[in-house]
Amino acid sequence: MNTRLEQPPQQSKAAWRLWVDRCGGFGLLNDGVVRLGGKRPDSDVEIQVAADWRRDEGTLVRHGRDFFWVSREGKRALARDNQALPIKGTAEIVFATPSPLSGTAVLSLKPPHRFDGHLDQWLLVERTVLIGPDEQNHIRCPSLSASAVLVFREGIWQAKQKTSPGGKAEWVSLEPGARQSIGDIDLLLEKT
Amino acid sequence: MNTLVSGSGLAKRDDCGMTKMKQRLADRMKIKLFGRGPKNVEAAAPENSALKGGADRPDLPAGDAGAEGGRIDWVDETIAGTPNEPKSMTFTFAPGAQPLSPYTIRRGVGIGGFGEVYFAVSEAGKEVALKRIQRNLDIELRGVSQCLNLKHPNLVSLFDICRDADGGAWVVMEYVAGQNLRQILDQQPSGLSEQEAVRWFLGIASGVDHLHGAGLVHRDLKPGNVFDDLGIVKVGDYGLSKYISASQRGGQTESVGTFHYMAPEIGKGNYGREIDIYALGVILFELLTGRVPFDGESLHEIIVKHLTALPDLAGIGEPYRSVISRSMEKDPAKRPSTVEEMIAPLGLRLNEPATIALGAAGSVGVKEPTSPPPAPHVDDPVYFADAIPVGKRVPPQPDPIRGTAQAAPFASPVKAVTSGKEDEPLLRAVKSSWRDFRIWWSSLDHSPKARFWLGALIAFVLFVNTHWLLPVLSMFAVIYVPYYVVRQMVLHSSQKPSYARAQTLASQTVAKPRPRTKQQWRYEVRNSLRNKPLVSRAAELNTSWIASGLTVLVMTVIAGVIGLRNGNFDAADVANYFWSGSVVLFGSACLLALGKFWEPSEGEGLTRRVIQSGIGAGVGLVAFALLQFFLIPETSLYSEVFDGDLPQTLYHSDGTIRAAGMMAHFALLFGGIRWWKSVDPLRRTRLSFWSTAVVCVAAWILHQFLPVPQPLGLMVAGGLSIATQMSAPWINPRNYVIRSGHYAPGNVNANDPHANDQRVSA
Repeated sequence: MNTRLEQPPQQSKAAWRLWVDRCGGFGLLNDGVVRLGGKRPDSDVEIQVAADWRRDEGTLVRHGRDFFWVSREGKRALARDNQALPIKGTAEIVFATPSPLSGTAVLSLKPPHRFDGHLDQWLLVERTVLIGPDEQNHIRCPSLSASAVLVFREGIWQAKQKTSPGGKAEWVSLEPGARQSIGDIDLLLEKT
Repeated sequence: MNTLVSGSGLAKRDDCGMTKMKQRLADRMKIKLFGRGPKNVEAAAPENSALKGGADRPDLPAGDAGAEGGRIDWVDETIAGTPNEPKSMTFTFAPGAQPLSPYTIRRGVGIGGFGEVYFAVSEAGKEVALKRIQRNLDIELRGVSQCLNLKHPNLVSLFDICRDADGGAWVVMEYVAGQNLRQILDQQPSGLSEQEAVRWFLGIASGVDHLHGAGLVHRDLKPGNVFDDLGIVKVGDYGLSKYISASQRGGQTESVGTFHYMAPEIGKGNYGREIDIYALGVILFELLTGRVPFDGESLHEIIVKHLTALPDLAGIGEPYRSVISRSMEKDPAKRPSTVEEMIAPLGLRLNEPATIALGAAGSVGVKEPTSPPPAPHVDDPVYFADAIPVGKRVPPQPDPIRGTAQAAPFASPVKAVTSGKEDEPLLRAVKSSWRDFRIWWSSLDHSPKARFWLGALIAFVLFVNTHWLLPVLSMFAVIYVPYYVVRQMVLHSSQKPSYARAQTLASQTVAKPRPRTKQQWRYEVRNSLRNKPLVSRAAELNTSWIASGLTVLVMTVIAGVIGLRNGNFDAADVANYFWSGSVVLFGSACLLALGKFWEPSEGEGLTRRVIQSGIGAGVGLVAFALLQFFLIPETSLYSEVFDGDLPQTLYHSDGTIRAAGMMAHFALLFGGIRWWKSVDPLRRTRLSFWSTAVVCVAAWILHQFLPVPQPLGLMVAGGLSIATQMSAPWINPRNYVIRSGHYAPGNVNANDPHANDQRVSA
């Protein structure tokens, strides 16, 4: 199981920021290998935290539906749902896979720390992102009643409102930099 | 709930059988709320979602939306829960827009009565909340300007008011990244854990106390206006705040607050900071139980309950129960006058920044991994709905701002709270029943005649049953007292703070001597008494006993010299003084021992009286035995109350007293007086002649019912009072003030390293 960790299954390197009104700011990464580290002005680490972390603390590597945490020292550990990654320091980052239907993982920081870029969470996307008020959504917005699905297809983000059975909703392509409404959800995607 | 209901419609629908007076009051509150124009309705309901929605819908003029929408949504407000957010609104500015330099809008946060709120970032990276004021511009700006310089970690900060290129007004304020308390309570319908509840409550109380210290009243305290900002509790939306002081009470033209948290006097238009105390009581209730104390099908029903009903505190333990009960008194004068006074019984101190930071980093403020992302609050902070003429601005209250008072002497406030839970089970049950009885008794205020006759009936029933009640109570006391004493001794060691905590206390006190209230001082010293080792306690008790012996000897000699000054006396005359001295010595020894056991806590009156009665019965038995031992001639006693027909169980047919009579007399004398106050080291003066006079008068009154040989009885009562006071340890509060500057705000000696070196004189 650990033999192929050095070769990530996905090679595309891309990151977005998604701003959802009345909800929060979220980073989206659909890369199979994601580095985490302390915030530095000249750092190229994908996920940076303003904390007493080293510039590069380690890497999260996707392997099928699982993620493995590979520390800078080379120690590997399975990232478990709703558990903190083993990083020394005051900041505690929690790994979660809220939806059993999707391999997308969510990284969140416990107070009082926050991600760089004024973001509330980072999502390690495996094709789909669920937005809605319930706990099973990757982006949970208690103040919203609507739900939506975001899908990354052929380099383009598309979104659709989740409707009741029988209801119809069309896929909408999300254009970076333009605010769009998916049902009641107002959001804006930015390419970083 | 969502039907359009006007004020008159509600009055017609009322079928709860309330009196006309209550109905008028409720209608008055309602009319004040509904009768206002849209501006005021919006101002009083900053969280009112549908109202906001209507007001902000682009196809509706703001005023139109406010008039009808406001009424509908006030009814919505009667549901204690997260209000529905506007669902189909788009913010004016999209992420990335820069309407106000140097800020870049990242996303919309919420829409309120005064405008839209955005999360924005400055060019340098500072995160702020920007509020674009679209309506009620003058009112809003005037209100915000009054709050711009308020600084407290538990208050949402306001940074500035700016104008954009088009002349639009923006309020720049602190960005709060966490959920509000309403959302958290909705996720936990049975209430928060005690630790979490205390954390939230302490933060809210500290913020409100700071507002009060600045001469402001929040006027709209509710969970929707309290936020968790990455572990720090912050009070926001002091939109209804208003300068107010004792000299400016009355004349308020607006009813304010949300119904579930609204104090009853608001309907009368004459209110002060007590309405915030009331709301704090409601919030504490909700934190612990997950529900509001007064709920109903209509706002009318809720208002009536606030006016007339008592909260059901059955499921709430001490000390929260009494704090909530007092804070929610209908009469504002009966509530704690300050936040500090309110939280003192909980063993809490108002937050200082260092304490809050620790709490944020610790487990207290940590979210569960499964918790949702830190969603910023969607409520629109609205400030100062009320116009305040500059010339009428009221200066801050004279009492010092205690928002940054130092941390509790014992590290965890929760620890201090839980110590109150270690009551003996029977004692706890008696306390609980007694409190319920008192609440019920106080609820009879509206019918004083009924209360009088009821009291008379109870007294009569007790009186005619004295012949069996006294022996039963004495028997109970004989069983309970040893059990209580043994239990206290066993549990005592576990209550003592550790050496490390004692060191922390000492270092904190030395490092941060600050002015304290008398109550805080008592709390601290009481804790130090609790910390006293058992050996020290025993040594002090021995010293007290020796002092008591000497005092009794001196008093006996003085009494003998005065009484036998004519020189014509025999052995029987001298024996009287020996008897009195012996009884006083034995009685004071018992009281001193009890006082030594009880000094770690303020104690519960009823239980202590029962125990004292039992001890008194024993003293009475000893007194009777000594009477026989000294061969003091028995005298025939007479009671005017019984007209000579003394109870046969207590007196012989010739009027001489039996052992039971002596026991009953002393049992009542001991049970009727709060002797523990006389031996409390924290009593006001070492020897209070007033207390002695009270004891003598009580003994004389008792003599009218259960006579004992006189003047020996009065000599014993007075001697007991003097002997116990003179020989019990006493901490001179004046000495403490002089040495440490404590509890005298104008007399602080902050650099006194001996601040904690209190003298205990014995």
